Amino acid sequence: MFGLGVVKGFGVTLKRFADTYIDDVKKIPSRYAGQRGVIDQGPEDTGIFTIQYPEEKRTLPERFRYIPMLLRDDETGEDRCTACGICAKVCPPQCIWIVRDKDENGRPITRPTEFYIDASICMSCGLCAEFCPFDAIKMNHEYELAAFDRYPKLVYDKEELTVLVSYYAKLYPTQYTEEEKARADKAEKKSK
Amino acid sequence: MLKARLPAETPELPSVTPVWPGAELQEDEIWDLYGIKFDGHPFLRRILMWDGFNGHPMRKDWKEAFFEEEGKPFSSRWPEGHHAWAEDRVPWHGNVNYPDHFDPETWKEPVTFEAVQDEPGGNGNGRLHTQRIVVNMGPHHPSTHGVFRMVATLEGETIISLKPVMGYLHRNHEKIGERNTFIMNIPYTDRLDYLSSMSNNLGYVLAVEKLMGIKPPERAEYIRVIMAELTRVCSHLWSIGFLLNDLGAYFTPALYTIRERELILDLFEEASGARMLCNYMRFGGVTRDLPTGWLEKCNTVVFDRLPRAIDELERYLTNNEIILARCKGVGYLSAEDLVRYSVSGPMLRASGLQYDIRKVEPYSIYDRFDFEVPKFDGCDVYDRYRVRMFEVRQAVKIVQQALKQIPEGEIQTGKKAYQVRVPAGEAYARIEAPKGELGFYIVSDGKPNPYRYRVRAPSFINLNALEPMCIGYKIADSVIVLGAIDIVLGETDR
Amino acid sequence: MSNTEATITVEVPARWQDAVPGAVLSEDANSVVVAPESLVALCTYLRDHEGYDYLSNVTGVDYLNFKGRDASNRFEVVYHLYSTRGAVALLC
Repeated sequence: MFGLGVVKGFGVTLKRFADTYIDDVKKIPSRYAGQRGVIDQGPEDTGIFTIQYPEEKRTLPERFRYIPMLLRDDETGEDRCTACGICAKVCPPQCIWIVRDKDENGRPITRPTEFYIDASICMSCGLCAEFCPFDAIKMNHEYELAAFDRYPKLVYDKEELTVLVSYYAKLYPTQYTEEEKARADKAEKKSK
Repeated sequence: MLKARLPAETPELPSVTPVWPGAELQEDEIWDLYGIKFDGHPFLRRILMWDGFNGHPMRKDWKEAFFEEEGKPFSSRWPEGHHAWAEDRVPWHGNVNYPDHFDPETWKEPVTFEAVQDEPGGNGNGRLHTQRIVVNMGPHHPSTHGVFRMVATLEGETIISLKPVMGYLHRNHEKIGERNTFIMNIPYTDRLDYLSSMSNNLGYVLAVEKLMGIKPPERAEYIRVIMAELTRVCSHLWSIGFLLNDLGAYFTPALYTIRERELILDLFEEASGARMLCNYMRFGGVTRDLPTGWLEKCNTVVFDRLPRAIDELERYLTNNEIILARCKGVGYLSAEDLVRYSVSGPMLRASGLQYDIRKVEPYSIYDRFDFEVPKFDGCDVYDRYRVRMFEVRQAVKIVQQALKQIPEGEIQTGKKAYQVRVPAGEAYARIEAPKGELGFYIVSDGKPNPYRYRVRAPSFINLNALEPMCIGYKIADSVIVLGAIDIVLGETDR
Repeated sequence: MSNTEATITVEVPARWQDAVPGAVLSEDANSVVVAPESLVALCTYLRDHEGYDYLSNVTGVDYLNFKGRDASNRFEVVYHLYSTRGAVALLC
């Protein structure tokens, strides 16, 4: 019958329309009531998929990557970075630049005095974090970085980039445990 | 592979467009980027750059504005870097450096038109005295899916000629690829067809692996296939949704498809860290193993959610009378012509030709899976839609098989290094990307960066067939014909 | 990947030479160098008689200061041909 296809199609829209209300009823208390928060939508969910950003936000998976961060040890206060420069060499848009520290005699030592990342050209590829041999640079989950000026707001220096290892451990629980285990194994092998 | 060698002075070659009209856009591109002239080409023009651009940028003696050295482009920033914007160091301020005898004031576009021509008209459909009108659609037009322009000459509402104009998103991906090291190119390939970054990764990685002579371990192969097929689902769902947008069903069908796509993007994000620009594959493996719980989630999506969603979508769209009326018989081009125009992908399979690279030249481990290549022979927009629907089902089927078979084990051959050693030589690898045949041609001279890095972009080459598919139809149909080609401008313009 | 590599062996049949004399200048492991003036004739022959009906990729390469190259053969235009009919062996 002519027109049946259109009618059937509208049946689908009608179902979806109903779904949004059924969804509301199922999720009591409603996600719109009270304080809004972090929304996690899985493959079982039906109904509305839109998220009312910025009041609501998605949960971020552990591997989410945005802008790099540098790790500093909680107890010793030492930076993990040794200024080896692999991150700068592998960075596709070349947004990292490092100045290596010198000792009293003017010889370079394994510590950066300056470390810049130009967030306005960083492409969030994560290669720096992937190839850092000292686990010193990781990808931060902080993505609300909008600023009015590129310079100096979006050129991050060492202090702005540095976070504590405990912060990293909270963002990346599984990865942190794995790395710590690998580190402990390595140390054990060395001591033997 | 045929090769023709040409001298440095006045390189000229006869055009092969009489044999394969599909060479037209590619020869335009070679003229634009290399300055090699093609005799007998119907309309040789600068297709990606404009006429006011001085020089041919892919030539090795043409250096980009901030060029310092190969492989490590901005060494001045390291180790004694001080902050400086790259654009402050542009030798041509404002990036204006015209070629000799070029005056921007008097310049006329190669695709020129007079808005109204009072030629003796009449398309034979009546006794009306008609005028030819040129309609310029784009570059900013919602139907063009990006910054793309169609210059259509009309008589009444019927298209009598249509020229694609592109290059608004051109960034010379290939030149960037030639100064980058091999591994730095992987995130750049994400940005080609940004709706299917996993496929682009796969194509590039396969080409380099061919040169290096390595193969990834079993588990990595399976992960790659799962990712590539999920990408196909994403890309086709997107394309179906936006085809409906072009038809005027504003955003309801598009959002229904995007909702399912969203779940796949969540899976990508959990595995790779990014939803669209995944940067997930490496030479000889993938970046990281799948996180715990990923396979279970993927199982729910692939076995439960997607089959239901596709059924619902079919119920919603496939027999809709309005869609049938708008799509059936529109944009007809026979299989023979499509092959001559170098068209690949779903368009070719909607013309009765079962040509799928996964079947005719299986790469990775596609020979292990049981799937069908669609065969529809309507050669029109409607069948291109049905081919996509069919391929989504087949892609889901492949992922289902892969999820059942995936073994445990390593995900990387050899040690992961930030600088890979690629032996000298050349390789061409092609894959069946969602949009069509995606090829990477790589020439290496043993240095850390490729000597030549070429992307055979399906979105670009499929546009060869745009004009012949539109001629004779109404101007409103050109929108859905373009929608059914399914271009992504990041890949078209590179 | 391995099964395709096996098919990538080019032996230019003598009949190419007979069909378009002087077109094939030289050949190596995976490519055939063609004389520019007889390119169109050879392509027509390949399309009509050898089944290479699909021109996949055309691209240029600039071999400036490349080992073994000089000004007389600085540029190269590369054509990748395939067959959509399946049965024909690849020329790659």
